[in-house]
Amino acid sequence: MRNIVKKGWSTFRTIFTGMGITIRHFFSPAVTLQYPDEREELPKIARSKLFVNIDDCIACDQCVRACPVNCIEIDTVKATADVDLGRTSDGKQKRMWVTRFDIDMAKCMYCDLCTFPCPTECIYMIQDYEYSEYDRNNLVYNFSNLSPEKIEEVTRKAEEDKLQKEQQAETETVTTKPGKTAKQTGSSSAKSIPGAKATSGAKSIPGAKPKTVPGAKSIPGAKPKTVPGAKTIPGAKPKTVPGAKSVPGSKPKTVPGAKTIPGSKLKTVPGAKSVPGAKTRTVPGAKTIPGAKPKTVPGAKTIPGAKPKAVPGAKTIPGSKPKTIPDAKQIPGAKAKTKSGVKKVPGGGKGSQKPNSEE
Amino acid sequence: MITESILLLLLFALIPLIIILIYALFAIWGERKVAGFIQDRLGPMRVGGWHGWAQSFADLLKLIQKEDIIPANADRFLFRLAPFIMFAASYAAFAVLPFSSSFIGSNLDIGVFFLLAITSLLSISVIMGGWASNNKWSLFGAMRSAAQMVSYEVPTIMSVLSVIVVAGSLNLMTVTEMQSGNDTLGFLPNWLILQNPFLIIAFVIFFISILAEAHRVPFDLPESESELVAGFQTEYSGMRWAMFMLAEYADMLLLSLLGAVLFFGGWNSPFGDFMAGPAWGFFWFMLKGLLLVFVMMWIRWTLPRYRVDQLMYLCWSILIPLSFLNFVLIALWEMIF
Amino acid sequence: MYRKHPTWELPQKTDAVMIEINTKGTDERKMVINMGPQHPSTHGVLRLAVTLDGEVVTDVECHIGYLHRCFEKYAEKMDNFPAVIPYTDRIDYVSAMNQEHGFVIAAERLLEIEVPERVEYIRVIVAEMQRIASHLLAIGTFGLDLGAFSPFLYLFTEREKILDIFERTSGARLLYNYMAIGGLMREPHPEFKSETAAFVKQFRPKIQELQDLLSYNSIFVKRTAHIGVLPAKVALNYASSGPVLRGSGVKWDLRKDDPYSIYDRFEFDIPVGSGEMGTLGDCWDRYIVRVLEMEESCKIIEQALDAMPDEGDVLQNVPKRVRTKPGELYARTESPRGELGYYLIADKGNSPFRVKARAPSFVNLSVLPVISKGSLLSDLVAILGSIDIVLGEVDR
Repeated sequence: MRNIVKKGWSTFRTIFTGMGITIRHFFSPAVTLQYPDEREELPKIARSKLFVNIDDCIACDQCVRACPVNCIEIDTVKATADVDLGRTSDGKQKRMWVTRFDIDMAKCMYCDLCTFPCPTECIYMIQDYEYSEYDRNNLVYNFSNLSPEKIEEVTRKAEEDKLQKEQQAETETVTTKPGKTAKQTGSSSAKSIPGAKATSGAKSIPGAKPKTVPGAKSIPGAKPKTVPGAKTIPGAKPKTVPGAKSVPGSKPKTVPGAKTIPGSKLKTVPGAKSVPGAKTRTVPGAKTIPGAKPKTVPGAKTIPGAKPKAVPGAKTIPGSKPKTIPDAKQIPGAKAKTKSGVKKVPGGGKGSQKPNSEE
Repeated sequence: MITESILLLLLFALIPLIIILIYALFAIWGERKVAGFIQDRLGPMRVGGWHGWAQSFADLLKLIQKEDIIPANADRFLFRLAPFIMFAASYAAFAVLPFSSSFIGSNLDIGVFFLLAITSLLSISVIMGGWASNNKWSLFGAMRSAAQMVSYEVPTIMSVLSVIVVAGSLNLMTVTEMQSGNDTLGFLPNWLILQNPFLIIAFVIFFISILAEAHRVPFDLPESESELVAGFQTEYSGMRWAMFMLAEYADMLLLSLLGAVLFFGGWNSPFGDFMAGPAWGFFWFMLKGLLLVFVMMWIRWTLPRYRVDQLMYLCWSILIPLSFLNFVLIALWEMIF
Repeated sequence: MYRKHPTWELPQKTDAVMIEINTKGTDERKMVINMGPQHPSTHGVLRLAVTLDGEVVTDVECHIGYLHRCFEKYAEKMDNFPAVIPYTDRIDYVSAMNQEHGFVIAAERLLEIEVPERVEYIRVIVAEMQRIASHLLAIGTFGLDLGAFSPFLYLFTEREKILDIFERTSGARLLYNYMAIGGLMREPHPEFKSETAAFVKQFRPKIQELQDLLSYNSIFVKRTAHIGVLPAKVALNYASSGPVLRGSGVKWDLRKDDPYSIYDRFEFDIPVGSGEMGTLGDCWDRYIVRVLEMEESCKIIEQALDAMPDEGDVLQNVPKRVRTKPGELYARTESPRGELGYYLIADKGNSPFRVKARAPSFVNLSVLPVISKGSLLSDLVAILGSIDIVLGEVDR
């Protein structure tokens, strides 16, 4: 009996002790932050998001090797002797074009291992933690500040350079070769663009030449019109890109603090880049004939033509060109294709409009 | 004449319903605020402006939009019926509560009896919902709940009976009226709990029992989320779940108000004739009830929960003998004084 | 007595098909229920197939593997040793510093790398802080399993303070990747010492508050005392370690019994269960061991803060490239959950040839079926909470 009373008393005592503690907490101020309105300042070393200062990147690939999850992908092109890429902020000579510097923040595990080996300290963690996306592909951040055309150009230049070194004596008449390549590209694009096949080289060649002149600056637009094979490229872009990636309304990914060329801000669609690159590679003959500008071959023409145009960093929106140039209509598939390209192709974003207007 | 009386009846029926609905919405919000403050948080803050007062309305809107899911092999009829019975039971019991000196739904002479009888329906609806869900967790919750509610009705009734012995009436209005005014000393209110020392013990037993009846911590076994996921409500979603929630909070208020009537003078002002009157009566009545509700919330966010066998031990081995003993003592006290 | 479940064969009416099931060899009184993988108190994605007789547990079968992430295979696949460290964080995400500490010690012994004095002190401090943080979570969720909600959040407030210090020190709040082979990834921030000391100072009263609010609360004691009794002999037979073993009264702590790092320099006690509230080795004992261990960790931190040298480069012995030497070894450390062992084999090449992690949670979980037989369903939740498993560690 006494035991029960004792137990009962201890039950009440401990319960009231606990209630005393909770009521004390009831009147003490809250320790929480009202998050979207108030936020804590993260320490400078907080690891929230990777950022690359591409101007300082020497493309040494160290970060790629350090990454345990392979979330960094770098493509480089060796710069030709005639170009000076400048120096990094700590004085290292840059020798590579960084044609692609993609970080997939969806894969990243924030271990910070990539930042330690970087010789120029151009890759580092920033304190931006609010970058959720509806589509995980939008978490692939592209830090390369080269436009697709520029990439194409430097790639070709590098390959030409290489090729020249390897086989300087070799000169070829290319009539057959480019034709073949044109066909190849045409066929490869056939599945993708219904209209592409129909508008074979025949139509494009005559119309293409005159057009290229006014559109000289605008490379991407020019190409599709002139060469069937080339045309497939812009069209191919949206195709190669899984539809998910190119959300119609999706604005270019803005990298905070990126003072780099606006074009770099754009979310690059991997497929977009690879296609032009692939083309140049498949048409080795074309490169060899820089002088073969004459219209002789559609495929050949486009490439040399593209080169001079590309230099000023022309970044006209691919889609805009077809509209301006009447011939675009001639190619049945072209309009639709390029239009879809407007939305989807990286060059079509708002970023590219700026350089355009400057011209 | 008949239509008028029907309309009047509906009006009388509607008032407690509105009270319950408004109360439930704000009690759910209030519970979250109490939890938040006790846990050094702020609770809901965003919806509606000041301290997120409209949070429950937003939740209600959300629940209305939710899909009403009925498990494939559930007993569909019983599954649908259970929430309604539960709410109806707790709603019907409000009929006999004297909200104010001039307002009572139905001035029954057997008010207490009616109230206790009708709240027994709650356990039936819980079993119904748990069984019909065809889910093992639900069944567990339902069985626990049935055992718990049936057991705890005994000490509840015994402690209520002790009050009735002192008050001498089953009519809650009468019970309240006899607590008006001040006691012989002139400064303490004439509440029953202050009239008889054993009624304090009766109140403690009563309060513990209503905690168990209303499934509140430390007796929230039927829906203990860490063991039974959500007990008998596991399979419910959308508005049906909201009905359970509503009924649960209504039940909480009902039992607290009953406690206020039986022990704390119902609608009587604690200051004698000061701040008395029908409107003030309603204010005091709700205030007393809500204070008890707050204590229930306070306990909830402090204590762990009992185990099912300990719950039964507490009921049958401690509370019931104690309440019987207390009953006898109160009766003796009444005989002597 | 069971209804057939596949809906595609069922008529839509309520008269569900009753099928004959072979009840030979089964007990009709018994019911098998699945706790988990989605269940509030299985601490993650553990699945328990519980056989019940009424509410009495007659058998428990643990199904694990829902969180298996191939740690060991990943570790072999890595290009080098340092790249494994972030993965060790993810074994037991609640006590990442201790996991790193264990792996780093193993790797340093294997690769014969010296560690500077200052680094050792910082490591011990952060490891003990992490132990406190981990125990806070363990205790908080244990209370949560028993229905006490508020203590959980009070403890979380304290844990948050530790995580804040860690964030300023390492840059991350949960998965730090702070320890490097041969040193640390970076210098701790300048206020590390003062902040840590201030934390420890304000933390002690909070332990007392916890004792009042939860440990000696009579309902809590009723729920935990005499429940899930794990006799010392059984604990040893099942190779339990950490608070689970110490709760049974066995004074075994690798920090004292097989000192690693610089733990032999500190004075601290090893709290063991005493059966104060119930039987020796019950849930309450396992619980109280953790509470007392937090006090001991505070002692270690204070001593380490006093003795820690202020000068010294934490990166000086970190090799630019880790080159392996062929060999193998087993290194064990005391993580908050028990003996954490890393068995490393290295041959040529820069990555480990094989990494085996001996996860204490995994081993401790194996006693669950033994000690939960005959208890009630509610007790099963309490027992599971008192073992304090982290599913990341169980499944790896």
